[in-house]
Amino acid sequence: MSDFRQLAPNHRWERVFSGSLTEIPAAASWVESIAAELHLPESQVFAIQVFLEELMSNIVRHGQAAQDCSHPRSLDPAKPLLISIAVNAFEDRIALSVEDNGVPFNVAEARAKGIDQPLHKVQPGGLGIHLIKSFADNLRYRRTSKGNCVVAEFMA
Amino acid sequence: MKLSHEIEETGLNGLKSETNPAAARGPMNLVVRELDNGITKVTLEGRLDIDGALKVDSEFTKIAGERKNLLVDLSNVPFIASLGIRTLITGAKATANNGGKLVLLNPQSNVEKVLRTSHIDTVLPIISDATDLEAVFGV
Repeated sequence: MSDFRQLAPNHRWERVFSGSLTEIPAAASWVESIAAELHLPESQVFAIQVFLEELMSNIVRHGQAAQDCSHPRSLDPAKPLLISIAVNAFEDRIALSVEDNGVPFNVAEARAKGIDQPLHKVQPGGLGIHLIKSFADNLRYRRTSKGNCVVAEFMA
Repeated sequence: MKLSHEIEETGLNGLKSETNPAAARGPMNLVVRELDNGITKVTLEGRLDIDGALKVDSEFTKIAGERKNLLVDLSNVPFIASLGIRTLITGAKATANNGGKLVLLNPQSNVEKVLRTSHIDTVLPIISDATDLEAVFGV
């Protein structure tokens, strides 16, 4: 996406979560408390919650920690998967930066799958990427020395 | 259509503790009522996020597998994620296999936005009025 501005945020929060499904509600509660502090509109908070839930779920279920960055696809079961979330509040938007040390996965280029078939042909599941892309106003991915970094913007 | 009788109430409350953020955000509940004309109403209460969906999924799928026509009341569901949608679709496929259908009732506006964004409304009817269920279900 081309519309990312590089100004410093008015406020910034950062926290690291372990890569497990039980951490997703904890992250959601944390972001919710920040949203309450900032008095964000309900629709914006909801979009952030959907995005975060789906992205973290995807990371946890598919992103087992990579062994090292020179061989990013080699898995290391002993290395804990970590998810670092930064919330940057600007006057007109919230930018969420989500980094993990999992195997490479470019969510911005991943195929989004909505329901496009009759019920008997629909395979349950696989809607997460579609919701991630639909609820973020801007979405950017880059592979870093630590792993994956996804930045999403949510306009007020 | 009036409710005939309540046959089952399943409380699927999560373990509520101060250290469980999901529980602090409210437990997930599922209530089943048998209506007239072979229609079963399932009321879901709570967040259908990954935590809530995992709590109700097996019970919901079991109920859908045993029924033909299922009315799923979403009016007390403030949030839904893809895993919750997966639960609804699995249930819908089960009712279709039984020759019936699954209909969603009264989703909150944000939840409806997720449902329509996923295009679930192309395979599951979403209604806001339960006064003429015979026509909705064709019974």
